[in-house]
Amino acid sequence: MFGYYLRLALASLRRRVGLTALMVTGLGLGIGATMTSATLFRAMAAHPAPQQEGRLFNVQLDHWPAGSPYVQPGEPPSLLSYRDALALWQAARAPRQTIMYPGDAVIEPERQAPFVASVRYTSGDFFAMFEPPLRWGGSWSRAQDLAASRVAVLSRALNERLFDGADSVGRSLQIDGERFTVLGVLDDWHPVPRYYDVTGEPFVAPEDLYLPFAIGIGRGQRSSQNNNCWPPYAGDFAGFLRSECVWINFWIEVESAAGAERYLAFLDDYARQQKTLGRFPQPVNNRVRSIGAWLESQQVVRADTRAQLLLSFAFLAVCIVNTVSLLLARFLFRAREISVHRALGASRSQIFLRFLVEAAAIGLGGALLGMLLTLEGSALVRRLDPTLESVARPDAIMLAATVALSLLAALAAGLLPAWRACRMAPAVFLKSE
Amino acid sequence: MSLLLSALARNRTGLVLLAGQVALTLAIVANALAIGGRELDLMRRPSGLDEANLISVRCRAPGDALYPQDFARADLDALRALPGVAQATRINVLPLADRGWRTAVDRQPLAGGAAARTHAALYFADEHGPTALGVRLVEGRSFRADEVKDVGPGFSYNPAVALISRALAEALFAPGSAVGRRVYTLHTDSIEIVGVVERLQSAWPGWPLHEHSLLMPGRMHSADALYLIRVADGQAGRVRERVEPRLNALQPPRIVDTARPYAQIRATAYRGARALSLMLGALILALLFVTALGIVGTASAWVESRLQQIGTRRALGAQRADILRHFQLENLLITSTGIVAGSLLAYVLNTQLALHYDVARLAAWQLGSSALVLWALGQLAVLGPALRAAAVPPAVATRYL
Repeated sequence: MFGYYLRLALASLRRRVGLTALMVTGLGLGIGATMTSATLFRAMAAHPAPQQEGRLFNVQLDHWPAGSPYVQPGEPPSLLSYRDALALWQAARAPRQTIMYPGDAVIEPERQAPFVASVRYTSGDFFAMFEPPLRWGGSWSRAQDLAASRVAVLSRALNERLFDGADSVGRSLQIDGERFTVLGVLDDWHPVPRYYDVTGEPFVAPEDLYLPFAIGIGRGQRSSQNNNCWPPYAGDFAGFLRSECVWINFWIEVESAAGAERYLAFLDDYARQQKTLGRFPQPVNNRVRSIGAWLESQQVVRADTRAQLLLSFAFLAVCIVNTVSLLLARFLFRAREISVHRALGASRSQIFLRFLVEAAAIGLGGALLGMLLTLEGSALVRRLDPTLESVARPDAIMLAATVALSLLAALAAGLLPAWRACRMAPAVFLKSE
Repeated sequence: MSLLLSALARNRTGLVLLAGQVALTLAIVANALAIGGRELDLMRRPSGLDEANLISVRCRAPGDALYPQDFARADLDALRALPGVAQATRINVLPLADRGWRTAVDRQPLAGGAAARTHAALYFADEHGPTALGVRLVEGRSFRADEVKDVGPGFSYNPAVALISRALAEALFAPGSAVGRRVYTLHTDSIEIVGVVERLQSAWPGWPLHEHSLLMPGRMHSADALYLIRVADGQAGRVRERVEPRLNALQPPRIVDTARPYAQIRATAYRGARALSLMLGALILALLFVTALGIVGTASAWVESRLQQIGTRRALGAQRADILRHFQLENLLITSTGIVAGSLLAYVLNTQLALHYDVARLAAWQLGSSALVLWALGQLAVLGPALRAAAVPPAVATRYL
């Protein structure tokens, strides 16, 4: 029965190609626009590391002075000051801790011109916590952290550039005038977003080079991203380290949510203790946030992406109304055809089903056009904003969703017209023969 | 007219749907215009700089904590000597570059936690800074070479003088002149304002106080050296090619970050706004297109379903022009109903958006022009089917008897 209806549908669609084309275009445009926005939104809003969700937590302390919020009132700064980060690190109240900040360094390769590479100065626990895939070698130990050993971990891209992609573990590298030993080489890694540090461009690839945290501090390197100071600090780097400027990112790994709560209690104690030293003027307002909560608080999904998604849905609504109009108009012609059908014994529900199938056929056409437009639309978004290169990419799931959405939209649009069609009294139109 | 209404009454659902589509389209298009219009306005704001003739370049020296001062002097000499270069300066940060310094400012000393009158972005450059930036001095004077002092990591000196942007001057000192007055920041003693520049934007286009800036004389001490080069008109391309080789030719060779035209910095700064306005433009066009499609499709269908009626009327003496006018009036009625409903919907939508998403308010001209476009679009779309209807010969009436 379904196959018969489908054949009828295709025949009738072919008979009025112009109207069919109008309907497919109208629906396809709406689907294409919606799915382009949805692809972008899904990639931006998707959790980059679900397996780490219950274990890794970001730490925020509110030592900001009164009278001027960091960004939003009631929200603590997203980064820590050096003195607080160091104090927490030394207290070692979590099984694993990452203390880190981004910088850059000049690499002087043997047979190439020197160039500037992006660096993440971090503690060794970073690799165990955030699990970047290691291709060769490993990372540094806590002892090496404390000793500020001259060791480095390279990204795959940097390894390709310096050592032609060979296993470079153990080899020597000149960074900012000193010799470092390569401890490990990462495989391709591109968490979307770069959840461990969302300052700057959260969707571009991670840093080229990973060096122990103490190296950056020892070298007097400040963050290449955010150094927010309130009040402005005086003097040299030593003064900068003592100041209330925030620039350090701090994460902990605990076994469970209970561990996170215990850590928050420890933070609150620390804040109260600092108050006696004249710091932390505001009421205690610390945070220990899971990855999902952290990403949401930092508003990684851009406001204009949200607006885009909403507007696309509005557009789709108009397209569906459009399809309903056109389907209704289309079924006007079929009055005689329907009458004959009914006279021959077709029941109302059969007529209804038949026209639903026709609507679904339009939906399939819209799906094809919609998929094409989604691919084109995403390509356009990537061209307009190169930092979304990895984010504006429809995968198989999104394309399947495109088909599903188109079918659903077409069926929804077809409900009213199909119902109207099956309600037509057969005799009226037979009379005019 | 009564014929028209009775014809319409027979097809109520179709009418409601079409009018509803027009209403939705108007509401969305008008709001899209409002949002896009504001984004475009934001993007069009001038920064106060001579952007067309500006190139930025950053230099690093390997291993050293701070970029050596004698390197910086040699760099500036070399850059200023390049043919086509009008002026060059070393500056701490660049307007629109999303990275910068800012602090609270007031016209009396700031006490610890008290709320300051306002905030401002801070720029430090040598005595050639204002010329290199291309800012326009509207009052007072620029700073002198002897007023340039060292600026260490952080905000470690008390500048004696500063240039102030006009917006900040008005915020602090209106209605009087700012020249000769003193301004206080959270860390420094008072700074004397010696001149007012017409415009100097901060590094953050999205910051509400984007027009508040202080430009102070300072010799930068930082890990890298950021230079701003101003070229003579039309020389930007040629100079940009020469900057890196010239710096690499110095001893020791400098490690140079690409020489960037200001257009690139501006494009990056407004990337989100640009993407949004393009997307809104595409949305408006697509919506109008789909609505036009709908009108063409439904009008064609209605014409075809009424062939007998049209034939009868022609047989009874109606002219082609009458038939044409009938269908165009019909369309006008539908679109008008849709536009009236849509206007109300547009304002409701706009109020909700403004409440929850901080969206621009709808201006009357935006709604009016959207309505006009929809009216025109409707009439154009129905023209084809209406002409076909007018071409129906009277003889058709007899065919169905």
